[in-house]
Order: sequence, then structure tokens, then C-alpha cells
Amino acid sequence: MTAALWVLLWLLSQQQNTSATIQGMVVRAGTTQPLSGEVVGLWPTTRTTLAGFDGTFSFRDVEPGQYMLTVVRDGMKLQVPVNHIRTQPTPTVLLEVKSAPAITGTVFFPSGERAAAVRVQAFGTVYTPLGTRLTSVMSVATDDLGDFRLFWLRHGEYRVSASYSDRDQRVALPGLHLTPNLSKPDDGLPPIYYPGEYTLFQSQKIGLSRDTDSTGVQIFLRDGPRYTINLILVPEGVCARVAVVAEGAIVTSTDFVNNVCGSARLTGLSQGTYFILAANDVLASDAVRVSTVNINTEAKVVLQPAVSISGRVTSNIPGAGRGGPGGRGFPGIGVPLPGGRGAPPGSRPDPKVRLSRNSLEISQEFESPIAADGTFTIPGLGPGSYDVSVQSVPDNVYVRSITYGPFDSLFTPININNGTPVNQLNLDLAQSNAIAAGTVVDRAGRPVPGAEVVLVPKGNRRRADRYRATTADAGGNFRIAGTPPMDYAVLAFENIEPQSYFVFGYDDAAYNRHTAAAQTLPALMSNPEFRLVAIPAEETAGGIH
Amino acid sequence: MLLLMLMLVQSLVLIPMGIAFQGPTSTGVIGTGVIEGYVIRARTEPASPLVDARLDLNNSLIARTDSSGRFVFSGLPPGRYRLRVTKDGFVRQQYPHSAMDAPGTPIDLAAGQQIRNVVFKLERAPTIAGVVRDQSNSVVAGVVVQAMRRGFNARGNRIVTLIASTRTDDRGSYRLYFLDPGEYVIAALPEASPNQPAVRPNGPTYYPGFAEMGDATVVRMDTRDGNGIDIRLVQHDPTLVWGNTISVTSGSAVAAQISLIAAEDSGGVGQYQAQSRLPGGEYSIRGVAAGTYIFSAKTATESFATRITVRPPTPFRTPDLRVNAELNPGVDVPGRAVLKSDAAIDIRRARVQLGETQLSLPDPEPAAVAQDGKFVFRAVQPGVYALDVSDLPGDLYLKAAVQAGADVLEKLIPVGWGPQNMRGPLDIQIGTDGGRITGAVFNRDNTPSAGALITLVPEGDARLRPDRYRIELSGPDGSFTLRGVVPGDYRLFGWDNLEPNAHFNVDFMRSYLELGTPVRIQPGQSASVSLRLIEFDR
Repeated sequence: MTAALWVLLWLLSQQQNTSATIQGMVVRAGTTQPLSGEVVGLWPTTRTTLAGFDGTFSFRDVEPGQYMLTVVRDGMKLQVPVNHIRTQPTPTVLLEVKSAPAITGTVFFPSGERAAAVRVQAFGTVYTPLGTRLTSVMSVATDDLGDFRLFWLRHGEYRVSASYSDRDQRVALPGLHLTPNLSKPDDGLPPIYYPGEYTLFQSQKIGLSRDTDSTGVQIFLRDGPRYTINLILVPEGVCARVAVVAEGAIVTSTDFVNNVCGSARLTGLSQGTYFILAANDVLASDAVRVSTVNINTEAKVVLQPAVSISGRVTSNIPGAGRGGPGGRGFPGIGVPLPGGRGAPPGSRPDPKVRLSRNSLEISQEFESPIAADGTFTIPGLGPGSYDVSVQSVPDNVYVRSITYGPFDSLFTPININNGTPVNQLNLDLAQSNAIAAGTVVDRAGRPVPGAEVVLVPKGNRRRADRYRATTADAGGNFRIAGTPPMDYAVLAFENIEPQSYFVFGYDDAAYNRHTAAAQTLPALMSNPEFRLVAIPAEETAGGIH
Repeated sequence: MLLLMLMLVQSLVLIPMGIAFQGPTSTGVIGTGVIEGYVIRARTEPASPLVDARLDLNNSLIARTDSSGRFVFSGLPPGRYRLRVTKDGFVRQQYPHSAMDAPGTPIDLAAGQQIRNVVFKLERAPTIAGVVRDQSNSVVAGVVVQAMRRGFNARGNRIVTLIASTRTDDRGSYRLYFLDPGEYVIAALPEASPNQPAVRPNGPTYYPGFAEMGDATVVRMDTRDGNGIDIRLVQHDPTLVWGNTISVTSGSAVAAQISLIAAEDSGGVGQYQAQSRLPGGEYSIRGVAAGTYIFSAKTATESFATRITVRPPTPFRTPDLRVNAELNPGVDVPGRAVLKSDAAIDIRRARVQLGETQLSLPDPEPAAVAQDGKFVFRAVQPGVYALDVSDLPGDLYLKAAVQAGADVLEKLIPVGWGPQNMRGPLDIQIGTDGGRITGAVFNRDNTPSAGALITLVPEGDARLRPDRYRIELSGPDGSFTLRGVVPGDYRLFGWDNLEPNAHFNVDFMRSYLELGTPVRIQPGQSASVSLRLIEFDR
């Protein structure tokens, strides 16, 4: 959630405040509804205080001077000037937090009528250490007026699409009940990318600023040239469930809706690149990439026996058998240890082992929960290459090693293919008590609230869970607990896009440039008194390079 | 835009995603029949056509209206067709009747027959919109809001049916659109957020801000939108439901699978599961939201079900509810259906059913009737049941049913566990001399009323017997025939529009009794009746 903040100063005479106190209330803009639990900073000091449940906060014993009351929310920094004069009663400062910006607009049918229950998606850039991916970051459906609202987006650039089909209606409204008076789309219409293109990459980007909605985005659906893919399943005559997804998609089990035996013609496709996957109870395929170059394109999808990968997760974490609140969780892992995000106990989902297809064009994940003895099994895997990770572990736990049979798979994806033997997958987790903490300042030595602090691994930089990052609070202070045991370069940025530091995974020049003079955190060492100089926002406009 | 297609279904599979799959071969049978007509906006003068309305024959053949509102299906082989129409923003219909959800009459199309005068007049489907806030008046995003329409089930009990649901956006606002006209209860269901350690989370709330559905303000919708239906969430102290599961046969505790499912007439959506454990058979379910539930406990061989109401805790009411389950294997209720007739009539397709009457618990499985007329209801849970026999062919009807010498048609059938509660088999007599009622229904201007709903409603104690009721549609010439009518006294009604199953509800019918035509049927008798259409004001 991003927020923009502007101050209304008004005098409060009935309160007897000491003139050494600054006090105020955080509210939602345009209302008197308090926002609770925000951290408020007093820039250029590093002091912070926590606003209460009723939104009120105060700073005591403040010297007269010019300050900025600061709130950091979702990495966005909001600053409001306060002129604190001792001789006058302290005014109560009202910090009005605006709603995060949204992209809004309307979708129309070819007839000109407003189109209800059309799936509208915002595509944004997602960074990984292997490259960037344009992927759907939010999906909503239009209402009866054809209107949509893509909300809670961070500022940045997005592409917007509208798609009208039976599947789109189901996917856009998961778990919700559609009125029986909605007409079925049948053949539907091809996806249209704002303002009216048939493909994602030709579409026009919509810029979203920090505090203003981007309104009036109109998309006119229309029919378009349709292409056909002649799909052939191998071995001949085999029957399987087939998923056909566009690039940038996230493949889930609900995509495998089409039952095909032997062959089928996929008609009515719009232009673009698709990925076809097939699976039945015993066989599975790789993700086959097909581009609609000609009106008719052939695609062969080969099914092989699906592979089940089993293994064991071990750890050296003390307190074996503690388990989680439900009594589950294998030794020492099930309990969310302190140092996490402050979520109440039991709120973290159970840890899982995840295999993700190693691809920048589509995303497909397979997960397995971990039994109390650390074992897991992931069935139904088709040929391909997969990255291995563990999800939902506490912040100070890291993956020490991953072995797939004789292969080290920490930095190398595992390969599954006919003919290659299936191995045991073993993961070893460990706990780290190393801490990196301190303050981020600008070149003039003043704190930088909301700065992004990143620990960039100095060794192999291609594993996302080796990076550690956090956002400095409203006083410019930060704390990262549980750094894995490797050497790190410690960097601070005034303002970068989320996770854009993953560019160091594949851009060596950027990495060398930024880390040449950077402070370091040696493996297993703690340093609670970092004083980092933030790289100004202007130098990272358009990305880290 | 002209979008007119006719797709023959054989191996064509519509793939969600706007892509069509076609198998290796695609052949269809072609005939020469035609069904065509128009779709227009109701109550417009001159008629305003609806473009791109979707016509659907038997869920497989699709056509859409053109710019003049016209549709056509051609090349139809002879057969039975159900014709439905939908158009975004309007209430769906099934030919020939204009009431939503009315049973449509299929069209029996002869070879080469051409039906050219079908007209659908569609009514606007309204929208309910509003904002959801919490106790501090802040808007709340991501809350599921449901529109639940009040109606009746086939037993005449009042129920709510979920018509549409949606989520609030970041401004807390929602729109539930394209709704059927009727009476609604609007419910907001905030999801428990693990990151908000509030002591009293927001719970299911009924418009405008009540924890119990019975207190909700009913929203009446016709064709106009309802805006400003704002809901203020209430905080719930969730209740602990706990107890023990005991087997009646062994007298000791058992480990059972327990579930709580919101009752059909409660409008709730909660579902909870638990397992009771030995040695004491204890179970506990935390965090149960207020509402009415069907509680059931099952082992492999025994089960137990009851209806519980969880009230929102108050300072004077403790937040826990004890429910002990006495599991039993159920009782087999045998019976025999006897038919006195010279001709051999096959009644094996008849459905013999027991309906639970006290707690609205799920009904036991219908019993199949064997060649010799014997049937048995297996593993019936203790309760009080009504007998219903339906799907009897021709002029057959349920004449009498007796158990242990006592009539069980006007009275109910108690089923209890244990040898002292065994009451012997059900003896059902099927009568062959059911009556017949023929007739026609007319509009105010004396023209025949096609597609009107004809309901036959029994008088007196017979109102409790579902087998006595009939509902039919009048044909194109306004005529109708009811067969197998159980001899007795009735009132006959012809409606242009009727809330589905409302005629089963005695309270509902009370205000309309005077509008019905009394009919008395003797065994084997035919009666002929002429009806005036009852029109509902819009």
C-alpha cells in the first residue's frame, strides 16, 4: 500500500501541552478515521514513536527547530514539515494519509455497451536474480457499469489488459458466486491490451504516481484475427488434460481444464506466444513454447512418466521437537522465532519445499508440506528444469545446502528428463544469529527514512533467498537479523523499485560499480552500528545500473 | 454488431479462455426445423430490441440476437428442446414462461416444424451497492459481500439462496449486480486477518449491522438499483463448541468425525471440522461464528445430526456451547407399496422419500421400489418424518399409508432407536383412480394465457402432504391438464409469476386463498375448470 501525506496544521487551545512536546494524530485523508500502529519519525533526528490504536502520537522534550514528521509505509516515505516554536502551545499535527493510488477505467463490448465481468489485469515488472519478468500483479473484474479499479498498486509503470471468456470469469473472481443472469461469453473475445493492442509488449505503459489515481483508462474489446494451433500429443493417442497459457502467466492446476486424446485443434487464439502443458494421472510434459506465426501452427507435446521427488529437510536448529502451535512442524522449524515480522504466533503458514520451473516466461510451482520428521514428497513433475527453495521459514533460518543425489543444487536447477535417474532431494537448514543494524543517512549526514537496505551476497548471486533486505523506518533505522553465513556487500538506496536489487544477479557491471566502495558484512559477523550512506533516488531512476 | 452463430455440438468442446477445441472429427445431424423470434426489453413501447442476447437450446446450441433483436435456430432435427435466454443486465427466462426459475415447458419439435413467433420480454436485473465499514468508521477492503435471496424450498420452508457474491475494493465499496428481483439479506464476511491481533475480530454481519440474520433489514428489489446499502461490521467473540461423542450401541465414547455446516435457511457460510478423540470422545471447535448450523458426527457405522444455534456471546452469555452427540447406526424402515389393479403397472420408477420435518436435517436417501413393491429406507436417523411418493405414472396416486395401524399421511412418522421404538413396516397403497383436472387460464381481456403457472393447493390437513400439490404450465392456448390428482378438496390458481415453491408455504398462500378456484375431486373423476390469471403488480 502506498500513501501520500499532506499536513493540516490547526491550533488546539484546550490542551495544556508543554511546548517541548510535538503531538499529533495519523488519520485517513478526508476523514477523521484514525490509522493505528504507524511508526512516526522526527526528521532530522533518528527518533521514532509508535502511533496508538487511536492514531495519536507524541514526541517529548523536543528542542525548538524545523522538523519533518515522517511516516514510512510500504517503502514509501512521506514527510511533512513542522515548525516547532517553544513559546507557543504546540499545535496538534494531523497527518492525513491518502489511499494508495489506483488505476481505474471502463471496458466496452464491440457493440459499445459497457462490459460486465471482464477480467482486467495490471502487468508490472517483477525482478528475479535471473532476469526481469513482466507478470500479472493484480487481477480484478469489471462491474455492471463496465468499471474496474486496480488498487493497492505501488507507483510505477503498468500495462493493462482486458479479457472476456469463460475461464477469465472464473479466474478473476475466485471463490465468488456469479449471478445466474450473467450471459456466458462462449467464444469470448481475445485479450486487448490498453489502449487497443493484441499483445502485451506492444501495449502502452500507464504511469502511476504516488498519490494520484490514473483514471479514465478505456479499453474497447473487439474481435481480432484468430490463429490455430494444431496440437499433437506424443505418444500417439494418449489422453491428457491440457493447459494453454499466455506468456507471463502463472500456471496452476485450474488451468488444466481441457481433455485431449491424441490431437486437437486449438482455434480462436489471438496472436502471441503460448505455453502448452499436458498431464494425466501418470504422465506429464514440459512447458512447450509455441508462437502463432502462421494462421496454422503445429505443436507437439511429449508426455513422459511423471516424476515424484522425495527427500528430507534437516536442520541444526536447537529445540528439536518444539513444533508449532498446532503441534506440527518438524524439529525447531515450526515455531516462528522472534525476529520475524512481528506477526502473531501461529500466523505463519507451515513451511513447504517448493520446486519452481526455471523460466522467465511462465511460472509454475510445485509444493509439498514437510512432515514432522522432515520428509516430503512432490509428485506429478514433468520434464524440465526446476529451482528448489523452502517457503515460510522464519527470517533467521536459511538454506545451507541442497543436494539432489550427487548434484549440488543450491545454485543449479535440478533437471528432470526421461533417462535421467530420479534422486533423493535433501535440504539442510540452519539458523543464523548474525545481525546487521544501524542507520541510513544522506551525504549530509541526515537520516533517510524509508531507505532500502540490501545485503548483496558476494559469492554466487543467483539465489534469491541469499539476499536480505529491509526498509529503514521513519527515523532512518534498520535491522536485519539472521544473515546467512557468507560475505555481504551492504548497500542503501534512497528509493528503488521493490526487489530491483536482484539486478545484481545478472548485471555484473552494476554489481561491480555499486559494491566497489561499499561496506561489508563478513560471514557470521554481526554489526549493529552501520552508518550507511544512501544512494540518492536520482541515481537509481529507471532502475539500478 | 451482428453476431449470429449456430454451432452443432458433437465433438466441439468450448474451452474456457475464448479458445475452441475441436476433436479430430466434427459431424452433426441436420434437420429442417426452425425456432426463431425476438428478444426485447420488457414494457417498452415501441418495443426496444436487445442486441447480443444469448439464446440456448438444450445447453448446447447457441444463437445470439442481431441488431434488431432477432435470433434464429435453423436446421434443427425433430426432438425436445428447452429454450433459455440470458442477456447481461436482464433477468433470464426459459420459454415459454417469463418468471425467472419457473419450470419451462420443453418444445417438442416435429420434423420440419417451424416456430416463428417466440418473443422474450426481459426485465431489468437490479444492482445492490454500498460500502462496508468497521466500528471505527474506517472502510474495509477485501470483505466478501453476499446477496442472499429469501424464498422457499420444496417443503415450503423459508430459506435463503446465495445469488451473487463479490469483494469490497480499497474504498470498501461493493456492487452486487444483475440480481433477480425479490427480497434480499445482505451479508458481509470479513476474513480473519492473521496480522491483526485484535481481541475481537470482525465477524459475519448482516445489513445494516447485525450479528444474527434474523435481525437483518430485508432489502426489496424490483427493477431499480438499491444504493447506499452500507454495512457496519460487528465484532464477534467467536464461540467454542465442544462436547463428547458417545455411541448408543456400545454406551461408550467413540472417535468421530465432526462437522458444522451453516444451515440452508441461515444465510451463513461457515463450515468447521473437528475430530473427537478417545478415551473420552472429546472434541472442541474454536472460533465458531454466530449462526445456525447442522451439527453432524460420524463414524464408519454410526452417525448423529442435530441443529444448533450459536448466538453471539454477550457479557451475560458465555462464549461456549456444549453439544453432546449420541451416535447410532440408524434404523432401517421397511415398507411395501401395494397396487390393486388388473393391469400390471410398473411403479419401480416411483420415488419413495422420507423428509425430516423437525430440524431441517438432511433427508435420508430415497428408497427404491422393487418388483414386488417392497422397499427399505436404510440407516434412518431418529427424528420425525413425512412420507412422500412422487413420480407415479399416469393417474396413479398415493392413496393411503399406514404404519402399525396408524395413518402416516396426515400424521408424521416418528423414527426412534431401540427395540421399543420399532413400529413395523410402512404399508403404502397406491390408488389407480386418481382424478384429472383439465382447464384453461385466461387473461383479464379473455385471451388465453400461455405459459402461466398453474398450482393445485390442497385444503385442510392435506396441506402438509407434498404429494397433494401440483404445479404445471399452461400451453400456448392457455390449456393445462393435471393427472393423478389425489381425491380431495383443493384450490386451483393460475399465476403469471410466482416465487418458486411459494405455493408450498401455508403462510404465503393464506393471503391468496380467496383468489383460488375451489375444486373437489372424487376418485376417478375428471373436472374442468376455467381460471382467471392472477397478476402481480410490479
